[in-house]
Amino acid sequence: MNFFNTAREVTATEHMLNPAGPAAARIAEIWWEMLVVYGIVYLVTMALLVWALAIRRREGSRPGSRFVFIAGFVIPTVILVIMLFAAILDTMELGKGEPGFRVKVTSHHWWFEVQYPDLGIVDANEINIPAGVLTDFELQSHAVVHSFWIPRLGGKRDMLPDHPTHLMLMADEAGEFRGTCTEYCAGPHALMAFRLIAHDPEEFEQWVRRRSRIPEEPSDPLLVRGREVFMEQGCMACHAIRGLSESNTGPDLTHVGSRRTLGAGTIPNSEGSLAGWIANPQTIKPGSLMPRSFLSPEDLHALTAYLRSLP
Amino acid sequence: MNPSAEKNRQRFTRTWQTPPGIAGWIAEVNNRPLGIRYMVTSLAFFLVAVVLAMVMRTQLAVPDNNLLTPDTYNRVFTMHGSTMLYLFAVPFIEGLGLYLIPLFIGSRDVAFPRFTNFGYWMYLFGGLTMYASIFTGQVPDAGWTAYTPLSGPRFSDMGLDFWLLGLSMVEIGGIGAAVEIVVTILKLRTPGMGIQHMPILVWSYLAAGVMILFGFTPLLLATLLLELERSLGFRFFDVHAGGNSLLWQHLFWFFGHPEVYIIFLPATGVLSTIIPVLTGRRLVAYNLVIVAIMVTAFVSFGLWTHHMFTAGLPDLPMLFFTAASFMIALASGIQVFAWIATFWGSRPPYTVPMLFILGFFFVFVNGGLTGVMVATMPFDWQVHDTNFVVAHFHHVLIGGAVFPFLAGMYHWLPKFSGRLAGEKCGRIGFGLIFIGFNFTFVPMYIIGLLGMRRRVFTYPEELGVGTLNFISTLGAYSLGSGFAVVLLGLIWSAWRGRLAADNPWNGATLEWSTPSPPHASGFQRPPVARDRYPLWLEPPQDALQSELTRAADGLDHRPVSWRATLVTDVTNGIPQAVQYLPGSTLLPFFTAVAILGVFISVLLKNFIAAIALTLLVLGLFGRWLTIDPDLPREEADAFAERMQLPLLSSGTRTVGWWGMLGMIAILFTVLAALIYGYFYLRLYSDEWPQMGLPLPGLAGSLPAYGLLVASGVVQFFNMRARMRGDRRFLLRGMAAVVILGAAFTSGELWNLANMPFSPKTNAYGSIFFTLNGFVLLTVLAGVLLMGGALMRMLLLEEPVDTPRLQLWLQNSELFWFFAVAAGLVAFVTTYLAPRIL
Repeated sequence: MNFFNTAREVTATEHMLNPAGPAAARIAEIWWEMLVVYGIVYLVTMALLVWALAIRRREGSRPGSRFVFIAGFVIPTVILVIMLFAAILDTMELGKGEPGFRVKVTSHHWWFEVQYPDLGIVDANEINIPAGVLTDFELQSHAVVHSFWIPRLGGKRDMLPDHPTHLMLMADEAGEFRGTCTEYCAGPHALMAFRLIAHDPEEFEQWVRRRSRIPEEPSDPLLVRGREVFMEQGCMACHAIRGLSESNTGPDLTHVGSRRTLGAGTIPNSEGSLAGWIANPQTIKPGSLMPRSFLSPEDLHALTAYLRSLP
Repeated sequence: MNPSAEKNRQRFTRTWQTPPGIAGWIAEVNNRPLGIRYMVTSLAFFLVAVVLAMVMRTQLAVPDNNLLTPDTYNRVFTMHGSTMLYLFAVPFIEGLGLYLIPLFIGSRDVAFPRFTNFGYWMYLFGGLTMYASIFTGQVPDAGWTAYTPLSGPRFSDMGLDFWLLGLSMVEIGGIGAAVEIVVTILKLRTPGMGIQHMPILVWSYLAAGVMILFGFTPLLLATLLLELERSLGFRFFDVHAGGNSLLWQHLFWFFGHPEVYIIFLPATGVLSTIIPVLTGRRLVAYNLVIVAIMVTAFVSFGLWTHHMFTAGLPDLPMLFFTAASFMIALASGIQVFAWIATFWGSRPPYTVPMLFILGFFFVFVNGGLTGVMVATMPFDWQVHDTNFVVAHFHHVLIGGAVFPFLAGMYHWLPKFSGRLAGEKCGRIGFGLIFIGFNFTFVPMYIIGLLGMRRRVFTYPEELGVGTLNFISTLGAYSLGSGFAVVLLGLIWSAWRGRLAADNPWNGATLEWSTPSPPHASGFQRPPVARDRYPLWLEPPQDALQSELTRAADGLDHRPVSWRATLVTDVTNGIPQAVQYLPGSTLLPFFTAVAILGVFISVLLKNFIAAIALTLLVLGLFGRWLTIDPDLPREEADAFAERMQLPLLSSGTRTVGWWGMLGMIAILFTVLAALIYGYFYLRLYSDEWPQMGLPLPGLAGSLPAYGLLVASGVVQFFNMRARMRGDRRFLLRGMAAVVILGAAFTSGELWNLANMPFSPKTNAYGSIFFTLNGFVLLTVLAGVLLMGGALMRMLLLEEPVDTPRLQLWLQNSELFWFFAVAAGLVAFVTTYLAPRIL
C-alpha cells in the first residue's frame, strides 16, 4: 500500500482532452460543445426547479400541460435535433480519408502483436507509425474481445475474435502515446497497454531500415551464453526471435532491447526490470501467462544481457 | 352489529390470515408479506453489494495499489454489478410493485398468489446459488455483462455456471412476477377505476411489467444458450465453429438497455405519486406523462446497440441508435418538467422524501444529460468503457432510481409497518448519501475523461488521476455509511417507531384508505374509485356510482370461506366477475426446491438426476394446475345471488386466461430471439449450412409438420365444438389432436436423431437443434395440457360450459394454436428458408 504517495501528483497528459491527432481533436471539441450546451440545459432546469419551489402560490398563473409540453418537449427537441445533426456530420467527417499506412494489431491474452504487412516487420506492444499519415489499424483478437484505444489520437475500436475491425488514426506530429486495451478481458486486463510512437518521415525511414535487419549472431561470450539460455530454458516455446524461433504465444522479442516497456506497457524497460520480469513476472503482472523462471544468477544475467542486445 | 355478522367477520379475517409457524411462513402466498420479503431480501443483497463497492473504492484510492490482486478485484466488481442489477434493483421493484399495486388499485391480492410465493423462492435460491460460488473458490469474474467468449467454456471457470444458473432462476421468478403485475393491473382493478383513472405508478408498473416480459426473456434465453455451450458443448458463440461472439452482445443488450428503464420507470411512478402528496395538488400533464412512459417503454427496445458503438458496426446505421437515445431523453424531459410544474409555487414541506426527491433532480438530470453525451457516437468512441460511463450510469441508477425508492420507503413505511419513519436518521443519512454521492461520482467523470478505464484493478501514477480517485473513495465511504444509516433507521422505525395514522400525509391514492398496516385482506370492502385521486374527491352520486357501490358492498367481508377479489373490465372498471384466489400452500415452495435441484444437478454435471428432477418439476406443476377451487355450496350460492356476478368464470374474465396469454408472450419472445439468432449467425457465415453440411431433409420433416398442421385444423373445429358445447365431438377431436401431436413429436424426434450433424458440430447445428428442440418442447407441453383437459373431461363428466373446464379448454386451445404457429415458423426458418433464400 502506498497511501502516502498521492502527495506527489503528476499532471495528466495522456488523455482525450489533450489531442494529438485530428480525430481526437474533433472529439475533444465535441466534448466542449456538449459541455456548454448541456451545461446550460442543466443550469436552466435547476434554476426552474428552485424558482418553482421559491415563489409563492399564485392560483391561475400556475403552469400546466402547455408549459410541460414546451419546456419538456419542444425546446429539448430543437436542441437535440441540432445536436443530432452535428453528431451525424461529425461521424461522417471522422469516417473520411484514405489511409497511407497499414498496421495489423492482434490482441492476445494481455499483450498486442503488431504486424506491418507492407514492411514484413513483426513486433509487440509497440507500434511505430509515420506522423502526419492517416494509418489504418486492422484489429483482431486471438481469443476474447479486447479493445484498442489511444486517447490522444482518437476513439477506440473493439478487437473481435470473429473478424477484423478497422480504425483510422493520425498523429499530427512525432511523439509517444499511451494506448490500452479497453474492453474488459479478465486477469490483468488493467495491465494490458502499449506504446505508439509517431516518427517524422526521415526518422521513420531509419526505423524501418533498422527493423528490417536480421539480428547478427552475437560473438561476446556472455551474449552467446544468453542466447543458449534462451534456447535451452524453454523461452522459445512461446517467444519468437527472428532467425531463432517462431512461436507467437508470447510477444515477439526480436527487438526487445529497444522496447520502451515490458509486460505490455506495465513497467519501463531497463536492465534491472528485465531481469526482474524474467525472474518472476507474476509479481509485476499477476495472471500473466509467463511463468516464473528458476535460472541461476549467471544464466539470468546472460539472458538479460542477450535480450538487451537485441536492437 | 349482530353476533352472526361478527362471527362472519372473524371467519373472513381468518381466511386471509397467514397460517402460523415456519411452514405457514414458507407457504405464505399473500402479496403484502411477500412484497416486503422481496424488498427486505433485495436490500440485504444491496448492502452486500455496497460493501463490495467499498472494497473496490479502497483498492482504487491510490495508484498502483496492491491491496487486491487483479483476480480478486475482477471477481469483486463482477459480483457488485450482478448483485446490484439482478439481485437488488429488479427484485426490489417487483417487491414494491407486488406490495403496492393491489393497494393502489383496490385489489385484495395479485392475480397469481401462489406464483408470488414461487417467484420469491426462485429469486432467493437464484441469489444464493450465485453467491454459493464462493465455496468453490471460483467466484464469477466475467463482469455483469459476461461477454462471450470470455464467459465461454474456454476462458471462465465453474463460477460462471453458478452465475448463469443462479441468474436463470432469478429471471424465471422475475418474468413470472412481471406477468402477475401486468394481469393484476389489467383485470383486478376496483370498481370504477377505468384505465383513465389509473394512478401514474400503476401505469409505470404496467409498462415495466410488459418490458420485463419482452426484455428478460431474451436474457433468460441467452443465459440458457451459454449454459448449453458450457455444459453440453454447443457452439453458438464459438468463433472456431461458425459461432459469433457478438450474438451474445446483441441478445444481452436487447435485455440490458430496457433493464435500465425497467428500473427507472417505477421510480418515476414513485415520484409522480409522492410529489402530488407533498404539494397537495394533482400531477400536471397526466396524459403527457403517460405518453412519455409509453414512449420510453417502446423506444428502450430500439437502443441496445448504443452499448456497441465501438464494436465496429457500420457507422451510419448506428446513428439511428443515437437518434433513438435522444428520443428517450425527450420522454424523460417531459416527466421532469411535469414534476417541476407540479411543484410550482406550492411550498412543499422539506421532509425526508422531499430531500431525496430534490437529490433526484440534482443527480438524475446530470446523469441524463451525460447519457445524451454518451449516446453521441463519436464522443462515445472516446469515453466508452472508461470511468466516465461508470459515473454516468451511477448517476442515473442511484440518482434516478435509488433516491426515489428511498423517498418511497419513507413515504410508505406507515403501510409496510404501521409506524412512521424517524426523520432524524433520514436527514443525517440523506446528507451523507447526497454529499457522498457527488464526491464519489462527479470526480469520476473527470477521471474517465483523463483516460482511466473501467474494470481495472489499478492505474499507473502517470495517468495523473490519483488525487481525484482518493476524493472519490472518501465520497464512497460517506455514501456507504449514509445507506447504512438510512436502512438501519428504517429498520428501527419499522420496529419501534411512532404508530402511524391511516393517512398521515393526506395521500390521495387508495392505499391510504386502509389502516396502517392494512388488514390481512388488503380491503375488507373494495373501495370505489372513479378518479386518479379518489381520496381527494367526492364521487358523483349517479346511477353508475350506486351500481359500483353495490358490487363493493357485496364483497364487504365476503366471501368468508375462500379468498376472492373482483374482476373488472380492462377499460372502464365495471365489475365482471369474482376471482377465486388460492390460499397458503407449500406446493410452490416444493416446486422451487425441485427446480433448484435440477440446476444443482446441471452444475454437478449429473444429467440423469437433472432429468429425473425435471420430471418431478413437471409433476408438481401438473398438480399445481389441476387443483380446483372448492367453494362451499351454500355460501357460494348465496354469495353469487347477492353479487349477481359469476364466482368462477372463463375466458377474458378470468386471470387464468390472461396468464396463458402472458405465457404465450414469453414463448413467442423466446421463439423470436431464436429466429433472430438463426439469421444473425447465417448473416455472418460464408456458407449456410456451415462447413458443407447437407440441407436438412424434407422427406421426414414434411410429413411430420403435415401432422402438426392437421392437428391445428382439427383444433380449429374443436374450438367451434367448444363454443356450441358439443362434448362428443370435443372428446374425439381432442383425442385426435393429442395423437397427432404425439405423432409429430416422435416423428420429428426421429428426424432430429437422424440428422447427419449434431448441436456440437458447429453453430449451425447448435441453432438448428435448439430452434427445433424448442418447438418439440412446446408441442410436448401442448400435448400434456391438451391431454390434461381431455382427462378432465373423461373423469369429471362435467358439461362443456362448466367455467373451470371451459378455461382448461380455452387455455389448451390457445397454447395449441401457438405451438402449431411456432412449429410452422421454425419449419419455414430451418427447413425451407435455406432452400429459397
